[in-house]
Amino acid sequence: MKQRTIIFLSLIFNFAFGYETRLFQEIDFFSEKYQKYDVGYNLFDFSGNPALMKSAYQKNIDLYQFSGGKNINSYHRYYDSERTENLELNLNWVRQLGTKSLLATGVRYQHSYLINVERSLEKNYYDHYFGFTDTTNGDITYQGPRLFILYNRNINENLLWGLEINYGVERGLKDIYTECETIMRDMDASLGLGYFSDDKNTIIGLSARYFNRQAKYEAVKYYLDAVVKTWMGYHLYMPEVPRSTNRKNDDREGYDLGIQIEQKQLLGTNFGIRLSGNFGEHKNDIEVGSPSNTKARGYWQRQASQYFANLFYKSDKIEGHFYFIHLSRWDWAKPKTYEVLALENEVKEIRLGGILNLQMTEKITAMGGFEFVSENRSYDEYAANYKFSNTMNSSLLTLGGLFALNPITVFSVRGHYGISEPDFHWPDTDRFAIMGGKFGVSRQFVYVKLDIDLNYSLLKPNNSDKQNEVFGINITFQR
Amino acid sequence: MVKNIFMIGLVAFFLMDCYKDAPSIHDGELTLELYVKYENDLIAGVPVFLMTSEYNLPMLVDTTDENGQVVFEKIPYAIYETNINTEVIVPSFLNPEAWDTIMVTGSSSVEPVEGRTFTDTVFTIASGTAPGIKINEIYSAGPPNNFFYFYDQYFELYNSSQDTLYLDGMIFCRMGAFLANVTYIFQFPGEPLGGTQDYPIYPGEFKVLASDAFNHKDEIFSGSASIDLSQADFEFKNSAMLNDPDNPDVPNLENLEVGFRLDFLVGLTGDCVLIADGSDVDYTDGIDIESVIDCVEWSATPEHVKEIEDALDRGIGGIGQSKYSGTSLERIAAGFDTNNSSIDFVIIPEPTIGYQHE
Repeated sequence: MKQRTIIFLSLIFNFAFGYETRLFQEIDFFSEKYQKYDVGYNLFDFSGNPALMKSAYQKNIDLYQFSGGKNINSYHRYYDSERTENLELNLNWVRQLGTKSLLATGVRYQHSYLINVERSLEKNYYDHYFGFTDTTNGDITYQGPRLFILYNRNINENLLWGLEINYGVERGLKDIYTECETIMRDMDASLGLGYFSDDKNTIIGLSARYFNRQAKYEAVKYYLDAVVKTWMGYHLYMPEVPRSTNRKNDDREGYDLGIQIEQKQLLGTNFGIRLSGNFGEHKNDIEVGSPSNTKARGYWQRQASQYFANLFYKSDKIEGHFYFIHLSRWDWAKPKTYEVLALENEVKEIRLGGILNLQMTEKITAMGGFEFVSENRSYDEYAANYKFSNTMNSSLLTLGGLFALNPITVFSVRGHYGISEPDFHWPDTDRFAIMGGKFGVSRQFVYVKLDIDLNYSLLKPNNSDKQNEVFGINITFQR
Repeated sequence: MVKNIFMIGLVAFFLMDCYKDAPSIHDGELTLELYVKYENDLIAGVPVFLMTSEYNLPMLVDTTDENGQVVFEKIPYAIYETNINTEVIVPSFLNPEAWDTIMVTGSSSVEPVEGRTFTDTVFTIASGTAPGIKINEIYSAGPPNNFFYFYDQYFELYNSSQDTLYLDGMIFCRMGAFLANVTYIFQFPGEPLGGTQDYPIYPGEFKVLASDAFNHKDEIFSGSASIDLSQADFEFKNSAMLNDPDNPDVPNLENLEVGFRLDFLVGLTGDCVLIADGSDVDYTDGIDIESVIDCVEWSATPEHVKEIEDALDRGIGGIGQSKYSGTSLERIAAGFDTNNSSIDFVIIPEPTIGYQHE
């Protein structure tokens, strides 16, 4: 589950979330795959229930994607990097194994280079309540593979089950002493059941997911006075004992449970509806000490729920969606041995959005969409006597289209503009303007379809001359 | 089908059961009530300093009321150190009808347990350890370098008395656990206990004892980092060590331990040293406590378990000091001695050879 503000900003920033196991599936109506690839909006993508993949992906797919991106973060939060360079290789295969089962597998290799990271030894300092820092600035490289496998099979004509397993390992290394080395191992397993009515008009799904992640940090002291600190919240820190190596273990374990319902045609009309509900929790144990003797440093826990509703209309030439998402999240943390509440972070978020795809002619398809997000956050750091309570609004408008030059060559163009209000980690601005665009071309060859996409985005705070830019390229082969 | 659903439900139930309920007490709401006592009497008007090494919190200070109580409110739950070092007026021991002004000192570690209020008592004792020769500064952390150079260690002595004292025949030791375990023992030249009086230390004078009395700054570091010890007053010398540098212009403290072949070097950020009058040089059964003039234990880590007897040093200096940081450990004032290195010593950013930091 991502905070919506961060999703908006992630159009600009690449926070490299790669190995942060999160609750719930991200719901993204603006993903280009729904326009450019032979994939419709579907309940599997929105819920992650592996029992529903077979109904959403009904063909064999070989998809090889290379992505490269560069973020120039001239205006950034204190512990963010000044620049980020990302490379990613993504290989995915979907196979229909007869009429009753489907097997999907994938390999992703990610390389992130965070340049001039201010003191943080975390990949994303603001995603933790017990962040690890030292007193140096340096560059950090993260790299590692991630594998997934999904199997989805009919039990009978109406019932399916599915199992998905993700496994990833990532290593990070800072190039300056403390030369902090990070090793993260991430695993999750999802089990799902799906019920399809005889006419396939109604789908009901149940899913359960278990995940755990282990992260180990080792900051090696050399001769510099690179004091290692463990934070509790964002205002209090615990200076670590000067020792040759400081180790932090950050273990996360959690689950989420979901239920999904879809009615493809309501009362025989072209309207349909999707509903889902999720509830999940994860707990995090943080230990710090020498490599051979780490001691409990803190504990934090997250409870969250998400309710999603999507009313849609689908005809030959028009497809429209209106959606509503309600997220609520409650985090709390406590220090090592004391049973006292050190901080609470309560977030309630409402997302309203719509998207319309209109096939205007044989050659031109237009797309327009909007999203409005209202996030109410109440953050209390009791130990530091700090309180933040605010409602932050964000909105995004997207327009674009596809132009088929001929049956095998299609150009795509898309632009977006938005406004986003940041939280307290961005102290010097109260609003960002987000704008950018994408341009792509796809061509069908004899055996493969090639897509090349270029994108550019700009994030501009309202009271600073600085601005952030993102340049990206995606090259996709699909068979 | 029913079985599958049942199994999923069972797994979900056990997963949910693993999670904790949020504590009902908020951090930052601890009230610490401290009573300060001197010889079973609660004492008023005493400044109590409260600090913690667990968080980046400023030091708090408040004064005891007429009931000898001081209250710190709305502070985070943590282990706190209390320090008291002040003058108080108490009934005279010899004449109960008269009043004496004495220095008292006290320190304790306060570890609150569950609950919003925690009460503890800090006991103070009369300070004013007899003036005399004090180990005033310990420079052992090493200069900033990347080749593990720490051979520029030195110890500074100070005469806090009004009399001229003599170092002749005194011993300087690196200690293991307790007085019974001597790690190194080196002796000043001359005869102890007034046998000779060739090495005076005048009132208010500093004497520098160098591990190796040469210019480390120029000869090792080409002018940067480290220090110049060529003008030290004494140098540790082990004749059994073949390549121990020896400055012929500096008198030596010689090794007494048979078979010991190393120079006098101590742990960079943790160890214990003492100076004794030289009446007991039989190191095999430890050092006679009556002969000890001053003793200091220090450690960078607060978890360090004290090794020397409380009678010699009730605290630990140097908590938080970093290796190869170029920092030094010095008494907060020249010769200031409450027999508690936690209070007496402070980490200073650079060594002060033969003088007291500001």
